[in-house]
Amino acid sequence: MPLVIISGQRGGAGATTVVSNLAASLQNAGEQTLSIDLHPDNQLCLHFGVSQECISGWAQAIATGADWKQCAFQASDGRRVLPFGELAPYQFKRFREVLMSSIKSIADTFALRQDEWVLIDMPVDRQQALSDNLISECYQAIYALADFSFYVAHPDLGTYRLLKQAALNGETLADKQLYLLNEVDTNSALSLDIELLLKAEFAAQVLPASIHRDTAVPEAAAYMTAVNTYMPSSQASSDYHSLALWCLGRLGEDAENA
Amino acid sequence: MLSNSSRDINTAYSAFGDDASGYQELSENEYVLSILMKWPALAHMNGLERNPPLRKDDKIGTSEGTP
Repeated sequence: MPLVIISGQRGGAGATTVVSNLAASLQNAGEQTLSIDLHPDNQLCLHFGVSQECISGWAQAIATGADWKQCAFQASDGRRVLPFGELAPYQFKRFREVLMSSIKSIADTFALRQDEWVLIDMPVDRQQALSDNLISECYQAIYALADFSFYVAHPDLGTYRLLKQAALNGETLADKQLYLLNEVDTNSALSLDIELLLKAEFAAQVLPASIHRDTAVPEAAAYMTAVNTYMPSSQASSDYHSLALWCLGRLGEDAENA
Repeated sequence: MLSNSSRDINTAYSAFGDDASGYQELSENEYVLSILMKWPALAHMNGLERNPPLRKDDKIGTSEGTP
């Protein structure tokens, strides 16, 4: 089944929120999903209703010698989540030591999931900033398995500038890497204009489905659920439904059999 | 069902007390250009600036007159 990596173009772009809500929309379309948090902040589990008291997760497991496969949770709507886990400062050292040897078997296990979509919440990986980051290097094994990588970006001046600069430097996204525009603000002329510009200038690199800014999204997170459960009639719920349909069209069983 | 016929477009404009004859269809490139020219920062990033941003020669000293 498909493996999709979702990361922010920069911090705070909403990648974790996208993972949670895309999983919910795929689930609503009859697909089983497993969302995996590779971010040391361990925020993803909150969107799935996992109690803050639960400190277990795959990273915490490999750092303590436990079985990381036993650390997943299932939300009330059927979505499954594998948290990063809470690591004490002294456990991070051990985590770094065992990550390299563990990541290959973890990645292989992800790739073998036949019955569900695997959505990965990936930390921001601006290459230059993280070139000497061991954890980022290890995560490249996961990138190698991805069917698609979505880079979540806000349609703002900073995003436009980064994409223009990357184009000037001859840097383009690889195949199967796409920008997902998040928090498009229909009350802002600038937001709508930049969304249009990005889709016109970088059409091949920008997902056709955008997510609009909607107060229902943070409210759903505060309710520890997805927006399609919290407010099914909201704009964002409709947007995530469209995104899920795009994913199903490109990566679903019907697309694979076509 | 939506229709693209000119009669329907005229009807739509007149429904708002407006007149379609004053409007001009823009091509996609013209529309993109109009957006770029609307926002000076976007125009600058595309080499279209009418009022260039501050450059090195525009720097002013901050030592004089400061306490």
